[in-house]
Amino acid sequence: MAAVSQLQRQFIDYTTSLYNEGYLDDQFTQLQQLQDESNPDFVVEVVSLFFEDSEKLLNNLATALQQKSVDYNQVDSHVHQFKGSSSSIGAKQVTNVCIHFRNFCEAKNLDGCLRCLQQLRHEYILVRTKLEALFRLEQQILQAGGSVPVME
Amino acid sequence: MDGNIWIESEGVGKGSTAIFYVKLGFPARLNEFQLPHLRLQSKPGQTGFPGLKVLVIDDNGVSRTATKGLLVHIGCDVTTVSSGEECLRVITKDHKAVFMDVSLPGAESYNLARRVHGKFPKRHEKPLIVALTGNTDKSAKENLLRVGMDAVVVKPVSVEKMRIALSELLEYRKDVHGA
Repeated sequence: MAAVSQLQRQFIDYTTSLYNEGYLDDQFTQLQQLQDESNPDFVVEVVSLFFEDSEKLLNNLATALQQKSVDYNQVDSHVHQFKGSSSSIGAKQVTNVCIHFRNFCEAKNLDGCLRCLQQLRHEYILVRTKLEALFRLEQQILQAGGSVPVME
Repeated sequence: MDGNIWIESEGVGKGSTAIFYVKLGFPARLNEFQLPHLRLQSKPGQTGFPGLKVLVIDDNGVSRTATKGLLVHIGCDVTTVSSGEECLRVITKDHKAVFMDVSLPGAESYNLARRVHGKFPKRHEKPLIVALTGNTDKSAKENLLRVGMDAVVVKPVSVEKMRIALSELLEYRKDVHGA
């Protein structure tokens, strides 16, 4: 089993890369700072909610954009929700796509919307994969008897 | 001092400035509006709010959970609801502040402030109503203050920003309501 310090180093490097590559922003750090002894699983809890919410919204968006007569207000409402959730956990790239998506909704541009939906799905899957890897690293550290480093 | 407060920040970790509009002057002229606004630098203030009973309204589950986590972290006793109707059902005079995410559908958030005030006609029973918004547009903020919000806090909200906001709001409340 890898030494705790090695795992901790890995965790720090991985987390730093997520910020540097623009997947996460400071809001994620804020969430981590809210985690304490009385709320030990806070980040996983909020992020899991985000995953659930996102899957639902992606389905809703696909359905809404497949209608013969697209209701752009409805589409916009889903994207707005998505933007709210993604910005709450600091999923920066996802939030950025939502902003563009809303512009296409306002312009009632179907092509633009469909492209954004594809991008949104792509960015969501990326950030989900990265966060799941991060949580796995955390578990490894805890199981090895160490504590998870707190990022500043 | 009748007035309004909003908190601006250039971002998490970049400090916050609390901006206050305060009405100073003779009690008989409380409708006098917007004397020069004071820019106060963030000061330590209260760091915890043990047992302060607050209500969070947000129809987005992720955002609601994050806001709750933040308020719990600074010691508040937090109730959460996802709609204006639920808020009006659940709110009591023991709730000292209501945090309202103003991306609630349509004009709901605006009407809600009015209805909450209506529910507690006695001044000292009225909760403070804080709008949480992602909109940094100044006119949007002023609009919120005009329709009955006591303060506007721009998201994203850091722990520090929330501490300052609550601290200042409670001071303001003491001056206005004596409680």
